[in-house]
Amino acid sequence: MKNKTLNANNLRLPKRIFFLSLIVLMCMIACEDFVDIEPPTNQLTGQLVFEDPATVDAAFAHIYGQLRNQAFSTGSISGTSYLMSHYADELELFSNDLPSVQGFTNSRVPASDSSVAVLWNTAFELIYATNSIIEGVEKSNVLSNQDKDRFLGEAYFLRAYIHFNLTNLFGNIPYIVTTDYRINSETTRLENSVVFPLIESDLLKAKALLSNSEGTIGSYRPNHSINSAFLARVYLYQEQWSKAMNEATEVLDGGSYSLTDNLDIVFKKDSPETLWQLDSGIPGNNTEEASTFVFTSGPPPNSTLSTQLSNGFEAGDARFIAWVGTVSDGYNTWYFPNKYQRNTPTADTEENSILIRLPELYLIAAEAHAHLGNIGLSLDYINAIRNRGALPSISTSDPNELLDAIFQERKAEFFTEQGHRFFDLKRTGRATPILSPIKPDWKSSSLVLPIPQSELLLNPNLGPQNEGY
Amino acid sequence: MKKIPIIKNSFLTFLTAYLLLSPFLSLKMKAKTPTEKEAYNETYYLQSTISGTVTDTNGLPIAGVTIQIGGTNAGTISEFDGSYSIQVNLDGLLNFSAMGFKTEFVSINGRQEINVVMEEDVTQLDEVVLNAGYYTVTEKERTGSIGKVGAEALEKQPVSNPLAALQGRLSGVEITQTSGISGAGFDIKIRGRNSIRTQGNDPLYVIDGVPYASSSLGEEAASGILPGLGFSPLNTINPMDIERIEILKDADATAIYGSRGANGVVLITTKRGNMEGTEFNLNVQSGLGTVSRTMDLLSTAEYLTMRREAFSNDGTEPLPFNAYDVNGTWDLDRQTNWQKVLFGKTSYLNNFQGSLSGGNGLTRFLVSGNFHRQTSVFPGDFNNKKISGLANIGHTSQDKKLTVQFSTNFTWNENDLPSDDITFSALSLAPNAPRLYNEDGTLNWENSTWRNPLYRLQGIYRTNASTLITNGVFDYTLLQHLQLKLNLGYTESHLREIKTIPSTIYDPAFGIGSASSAAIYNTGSRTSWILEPQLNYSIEFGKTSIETLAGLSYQNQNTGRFSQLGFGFANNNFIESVSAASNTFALTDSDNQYRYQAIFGRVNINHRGKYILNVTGRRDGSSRFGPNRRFSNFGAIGAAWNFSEEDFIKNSNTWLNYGKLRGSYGTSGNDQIGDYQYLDTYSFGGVHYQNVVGIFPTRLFNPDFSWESNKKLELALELGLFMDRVRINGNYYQNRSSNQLVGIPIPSTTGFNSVNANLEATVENKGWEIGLNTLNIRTQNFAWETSINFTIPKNRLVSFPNLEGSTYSNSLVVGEPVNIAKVYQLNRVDPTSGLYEFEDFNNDGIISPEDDQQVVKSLDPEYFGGFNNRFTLGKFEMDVLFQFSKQLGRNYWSTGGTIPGGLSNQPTEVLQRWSAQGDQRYIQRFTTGQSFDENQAFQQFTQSDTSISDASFLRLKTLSMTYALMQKDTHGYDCQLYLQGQNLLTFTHYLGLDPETRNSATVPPLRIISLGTRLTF
Repeated sequence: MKNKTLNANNLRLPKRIFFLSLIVLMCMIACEDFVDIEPPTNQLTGQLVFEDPATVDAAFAHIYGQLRNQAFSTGSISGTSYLMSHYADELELFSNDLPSVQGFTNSRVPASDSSVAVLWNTAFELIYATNSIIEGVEKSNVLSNQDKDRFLGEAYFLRAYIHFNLTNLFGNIPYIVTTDYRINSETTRLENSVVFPLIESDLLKAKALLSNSEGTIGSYRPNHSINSAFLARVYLYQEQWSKAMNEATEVLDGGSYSLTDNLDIVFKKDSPETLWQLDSGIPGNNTEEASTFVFTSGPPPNSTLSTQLSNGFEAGDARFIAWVGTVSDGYNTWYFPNKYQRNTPTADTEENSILIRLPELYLIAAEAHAHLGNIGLSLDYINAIRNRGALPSISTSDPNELLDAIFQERKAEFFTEQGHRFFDLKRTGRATPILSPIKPDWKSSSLVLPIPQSELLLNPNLGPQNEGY
Repeated sequence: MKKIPIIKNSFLTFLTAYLLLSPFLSLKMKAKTPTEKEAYNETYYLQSTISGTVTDTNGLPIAGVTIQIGGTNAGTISEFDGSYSIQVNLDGLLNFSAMGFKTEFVSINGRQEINVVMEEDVTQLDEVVLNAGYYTVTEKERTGSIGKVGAEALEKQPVSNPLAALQGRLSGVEITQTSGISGAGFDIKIRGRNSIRTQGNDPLYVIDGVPYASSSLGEEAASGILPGLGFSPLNTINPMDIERIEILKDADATAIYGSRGANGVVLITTKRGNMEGTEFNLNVQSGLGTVSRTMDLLSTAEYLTMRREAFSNDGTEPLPFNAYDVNGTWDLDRQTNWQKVLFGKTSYLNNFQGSLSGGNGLTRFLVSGNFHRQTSVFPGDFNNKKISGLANIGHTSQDKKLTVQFSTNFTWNENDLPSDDITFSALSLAPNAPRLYNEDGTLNWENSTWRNPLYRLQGIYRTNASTLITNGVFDYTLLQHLQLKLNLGYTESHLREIKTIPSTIYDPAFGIGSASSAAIYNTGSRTSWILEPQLNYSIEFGKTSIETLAGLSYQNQNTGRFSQLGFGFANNNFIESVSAASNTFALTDSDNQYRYQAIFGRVNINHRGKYILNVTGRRDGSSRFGPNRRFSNFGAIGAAWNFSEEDFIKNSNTWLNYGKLRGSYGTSGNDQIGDYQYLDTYSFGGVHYQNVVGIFPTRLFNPDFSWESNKKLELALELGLFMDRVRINGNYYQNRSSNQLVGIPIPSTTGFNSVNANLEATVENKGWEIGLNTLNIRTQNFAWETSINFTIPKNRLVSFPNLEGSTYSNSLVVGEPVNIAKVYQLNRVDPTSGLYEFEDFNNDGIISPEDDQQVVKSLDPEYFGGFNNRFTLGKFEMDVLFQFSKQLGRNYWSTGGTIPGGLSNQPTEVLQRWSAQGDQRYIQRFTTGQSFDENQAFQQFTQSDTSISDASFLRLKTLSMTYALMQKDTHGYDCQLYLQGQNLLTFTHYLGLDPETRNSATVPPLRIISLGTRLTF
């Protein structure tokens, strides 16, 4: 017992001190640095992204990938190729599981519709990403001027491209040129007279910046030719015929691309007609369009070609044979768009989604010349396309007849592609005459989609809502 | 200082020897029923016969009182008239003990007749010790608001998630089940919703002193079937291992947890070993469950009438090709009850629990293991398995200066679920939809005219989760009043998820093969450690005692998640292995770190046990905020006045035995946002283009946001009447939170849909909580106790400067609760057109959301509570808990779905539709959706005031009956049989599947009945 007490006493003091000093030590560790942590390993600091061209390319890769997967340009059921083809007169809905598409088929969509919100939201997400690249590249001290030009050119092109599609769908839209959310959350919608010059200015800037880029066949990223081709389309929609003609001719005379008679290869990866296609992402993958449109046995899972379209081809049009598929169960025959045919992965990618192709430039040139009075030149262009489709040439001196023929060619050439049909109907004033007889719900306000309801609730400055919604 | 005798080897030897010998030891230690003969045999000294009567405080005799001779096992029992007689030596000690009475020790002191009055021993509520987190406090001296649920309540419920066991038992705590699917989480709100953000309302969970992160490790893309945030980590805790759960509600209790306590703190303490003896417990339980509610849907005849009328209203003739249900493609006479077929299966539940505990005064331990399995109500072979183990060891040194406590808790869980929820299909499938299987057993796609609902079960969603929580607490008394405590904790959670999307979900006629099959594989892990040294010092000055504590807290948490998408398989049998996929790409690859540190202190001044003052403070730092905003200070004051101890009260009445008036005021903060939110970064989006993986801007970053601040005020009155036969407590609380950290919704024109920032709004939560506990009847054989808890919460947006100019202008209203819906007002169905008509508030001729959604409906409960009764009759015990809530909620109409008249089944309410000119009904005319006007009217209907209706309910939440078949005293072991039921009856007017989940896309909570037996020896 005695020993124990002695030991206890002797040890008590040092033990006390030991523990107290432990506490003091801990207090010293209690400095503010403990909560300073490293940035996460799976994220890149904004500034670093714009110091290496490879990471800037990765930022672009995301945008193009989303154009392919989710935005208005996708070939899936949420894109314009599917939705606006129903909205016009090209597709008929069969599926009972797509209530949103029913609204598009009726050509009147409520503002609360989710597909409309997706079209709007995905576009602005990509616009933000584009503006972020523009701001980052401009601020960078490390990138070379050559790289900077290339990146800025692509970015301006993309900004114009996305806004153009938005205005075709929604009418008046805001034009977003900054990443500052404080400005963008209070922005107002602009009239076409303001939006168009902004689009044009972005494309002209891009034109200068991309002047060194090659115009190769089947390019996956925008280049000089793609920019001019798109500019031609924009001018055409704005009815600026000579400017449209100039841009189109620039591309056509460039010599990189050529029409082909073999319609089976027009939508393949190596088609000589392709200006801009979207890479499929994973080797072996093909297009979303094929998954959406192609079916092998009835009844159709999603949609079929409308009777107007399937009966509307000129007799003998080779495009009907090459690009329209047929399924029959003995009682019924259904037609479907068969431009993109591979609906399952293949060993090597065979088809990519094509956003801009050569025949469009021919028809832009034809239309521009027709309006400018150059009937001869116009006939040259339109007949090139007709002959390619195994159709006989036409010869007329009546500009209106010519324009009708061009309109018909556009319908046969661009059916179910990127909303071309609906936009053509709209810009030529033919929408109401052609669609209101076949669409009971059609109103003149149907020319534009409603602004998503959720947007108006968050930013009343975007109001008023489009008429009729 | 002598050595601490926890030397591994000898302790283990000791343990093993003890275990092997304990059955024999326990026989010896069992109290024998003494007989007078034995009493004679064991005495050596002069004996005399002592006799007397035992009565209670009312003078009534008490039978069956055990009168034991102190220091021996000998004794006797009192007769029916309370009389007894015993042979004992005259200088001995007698102890009188009986169930429900305080044990009395009486010295004989030469007396020959000893009459004893025994006092009723109502649970000494005043002395109950509550765990307040960093310190413990007795019920009597408590200044804060702490609610408690003990093991006896947790054991009476056949549940696998501890939060389920708390429903309806605590005032101020609202717990809602999100789905009846095994593994789904529970929403918990302690004193209302402080944050406008849905994710910011979680309380802090602390298990045995270790904070436990409750956010899911799951991959969003994978866990679609579980609503909310996916797999809930709290499901991995075994309720049978829990000793008690305390919930800290007010500032006084939570301020010491600083910022993380803003939404309340849930303290879970696991079971510890006994102080003396060894005990082995075995609990075996089996049960079955079915969904507690279904909806009334149309029969085939009613459905076909609806469809034909719709086509007729639309003027569509002949019936279109794709109207397979009415045009004769499908059999017009079929009728299937899809709710029964698709989620009506019986779920089976099995639970095995075994535990061994013991101790010898200085050391005590508990080891337990549990196996739990529950099958699903969906067709197929889905089930949820859980294995858990707990080991707790505690030791006190001989000189009582050092106490150590180690606990380890391990759970492994495997949950097999279908990849998609089939519930909404069951509600919307046409009643004459084709049969599910062909004769040969394959899925029937009826010539591609429908999508067989079992497609949702072709894919699986499997989670494998394991959790380890370990904790060590060292408590050393340095000086007489100075204690050093060190709390160390380590938690590790792992989750593996796989969700498969095989090509068999498509009709084989589409020709989609396994080259298009896909699967998502996710691995997540979270490790965290915590270190908390603490010093406690107490002083006494006369009748005033002061307790202080000071401490530090360091926590580090690393969360890593890696998920991939695999695409393209040679064969669907290989789909569960990512290496069999021909293409894989990463969806998420994240490694997040979170660090937290704090310094805290407490001073408690207690004068005579009557006046108590408690001051706590804390300074917190978090890595989640930008460099200049990391630290913030919080504190609270609580005070209590035990007025029942005042002389003037004590002397003036005998019915008030306990009375306390207390109040508290304090501040706390909240840092519950994601990590790194202030950084400007780009992340990988998982989108590939030209062999490059795309990156995109992660967020709109804001380096300036910082802590939310929360101010809480509470006033409470607690009374104990008639020797605690009646305990009443009433609380009034008022919490205000400002500078809220929210993801402010912004329009998509910004490129995002929200930005993290501090909101200048002030939200107030105030309310009344009332609790009543009564011991109604207490006799020798029968007892009846009641406890009622009742909460009236009120939430209000107090101020929001510039609300009109913000993005909340159309969703919040100053003066109304935060959780509101602004909806259209449905006036009537126009008798002429048959369409819905809504109020045009601004008379502009258009029904638009920004102008005409002006009706404000609050979705918070008006009041809620629970009502529990416990009956004890001899060996039989019964608990009945009713839970109730009065609230409005979104009903079936708000889910949208297909317009009545389209190819989808509907609730029978739709039969009240307009069908002819002049009809005055409340459902609009049937249509198949061809017309824009009808579609838009229906859309507006789903956002009108009819989509929010009464979701109040009264539920028989728990019914538990226990019968003590054998008792330790008489047989050497305890054996109890029990029958338990959960969610047995639900009374509600709700239009939809379930008033609690208010979600028609998920299975309602199950009604479970189970039978079990508990052995203790």
